[in-house]
Amino acid sequence: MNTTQIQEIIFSALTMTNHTREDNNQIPIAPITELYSKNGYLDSMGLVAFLIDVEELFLDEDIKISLSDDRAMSQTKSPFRSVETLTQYIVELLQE
Amino acid sequence: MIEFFMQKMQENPTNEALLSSKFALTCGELLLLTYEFTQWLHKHNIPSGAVVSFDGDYSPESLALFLALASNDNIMVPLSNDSKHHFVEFREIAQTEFDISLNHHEPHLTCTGRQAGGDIYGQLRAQQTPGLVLFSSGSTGKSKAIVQDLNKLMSKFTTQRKALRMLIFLQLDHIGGVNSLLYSLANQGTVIVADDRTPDSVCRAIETYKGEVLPTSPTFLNLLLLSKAYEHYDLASLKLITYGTEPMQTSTLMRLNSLFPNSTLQQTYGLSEVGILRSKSRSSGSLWMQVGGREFITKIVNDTLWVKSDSAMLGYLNAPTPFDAEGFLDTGDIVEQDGEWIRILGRKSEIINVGGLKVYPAEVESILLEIDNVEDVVVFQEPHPITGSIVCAKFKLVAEESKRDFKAKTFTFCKDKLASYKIPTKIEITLDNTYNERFKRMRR
Repeated sequence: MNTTQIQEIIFSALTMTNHTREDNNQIPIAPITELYSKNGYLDSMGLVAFLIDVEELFLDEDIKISLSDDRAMSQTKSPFRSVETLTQYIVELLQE
Repeated sequence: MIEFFMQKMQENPTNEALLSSKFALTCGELLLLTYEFTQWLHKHNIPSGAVVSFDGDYSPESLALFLALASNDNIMVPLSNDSKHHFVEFREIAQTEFDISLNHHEPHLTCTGRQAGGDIYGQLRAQQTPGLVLFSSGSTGKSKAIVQDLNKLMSKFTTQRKALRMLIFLQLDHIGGVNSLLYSLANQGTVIVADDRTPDSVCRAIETYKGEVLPTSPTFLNLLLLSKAYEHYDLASLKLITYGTEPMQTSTLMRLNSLFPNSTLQQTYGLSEVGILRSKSRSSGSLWMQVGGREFITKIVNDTLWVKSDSAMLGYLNAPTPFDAEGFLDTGDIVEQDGEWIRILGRKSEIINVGGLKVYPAEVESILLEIDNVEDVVVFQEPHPITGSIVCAKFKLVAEESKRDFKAKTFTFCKDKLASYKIPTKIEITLDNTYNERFKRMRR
């Protein structure tokens, strides 16, 4: 799976997340969108739901990844800061 | 105590005791059949105090055998087909000495060769009183064997109350089923048995036999609403719908109340360990109720309901006693209190703690049941490293729908009805039933 495909999956999960949000509080579907950071769109509950959706979408492609585990949490720089950092983290996971 | 019930049947021998499409039995006929079973027990040398199981659902034979075993001061273990996969396990836990199968009408006896002992059975035998062994549903682990002094259970019914035509929903291996039967026999009422527990069969039985009371569960009532079976039958005789065994969803209660304006809706409350309490709903549309009765004392400790009962069980056969030094039982039910009224919020063990915030499954289910195409839903928790727990929902749908579309629809529906932490994070769709044989939602 290439970077674009991974990003498409993240975009799909963001679209799903937007169904839980008011019209004036939608998350922009873009690579630079900040997710869980100082200016991020997600709170911890939102992040959990979003990550579970991403994991499920990968499972639909027969790829099992775990995003909300100790490894992700213990990274020096959180992989959940933005769409770009999450994409990069998943690329690394899939290369292993 | 059994003599009291026999006396009641003798007083009105032509009263219809039991009705279904397959059998009809008057009190006089039930007495005669009970006498025949008593003779049968003697003929087969089943002594008083012996532990005897019998399998089979409601029938003239099972009722008569129930009464005959009570007359013979036996410790009985009723096993309905609701728990047929556990018969071997339950008989072993109860150490049954005799097993009777009624599934082919003619009783079939097996002597197990076991000798049942222990303090609890010893107490019943010393007092020459009949016993009743019931099993908990095992929804939170292994089923527990609950031993009741049947005389104490029966003594609750000596106060004369109204004779009613009652549809039996729960079987003789459930405290609710035993309670309904004893109420009906003590008050010269009529027990109605539906062909099965589908909404259609239940409505047909109510129409055919002019049923006045439907004691059931919120899960069944939700299925009844969904099926619209009530539109095809005349249910004008139905005066009282009672619901218990699990928390009621507000949305289900509101719809029932508007569809059955001439029926009273009443919540019931009881546990196998302490029996069924007397209860009164504040109104048909209210989840607030009063519980009690002269043999019960209740208290609320840390939002949890505790009950002390004169007719409490003697104990578990396979677990330590759950009673405190004063004889109170922690029901495990979290309640809200308003003066004399309480409202059940849910089982303590089923509350979901999301990052320190409490979520009660019944509250979330109440909203999710309103989503188009939902037949039933159970809400439960899963552990999660970030928030401690997450809210999960398992849906059974009416018609097939893609999971992605359904998930989007669910989120859109919930966003202005539930706080964000209560919206299910994980959504599953299942083809299996979300409830057990007793129409109780299984939150696992």
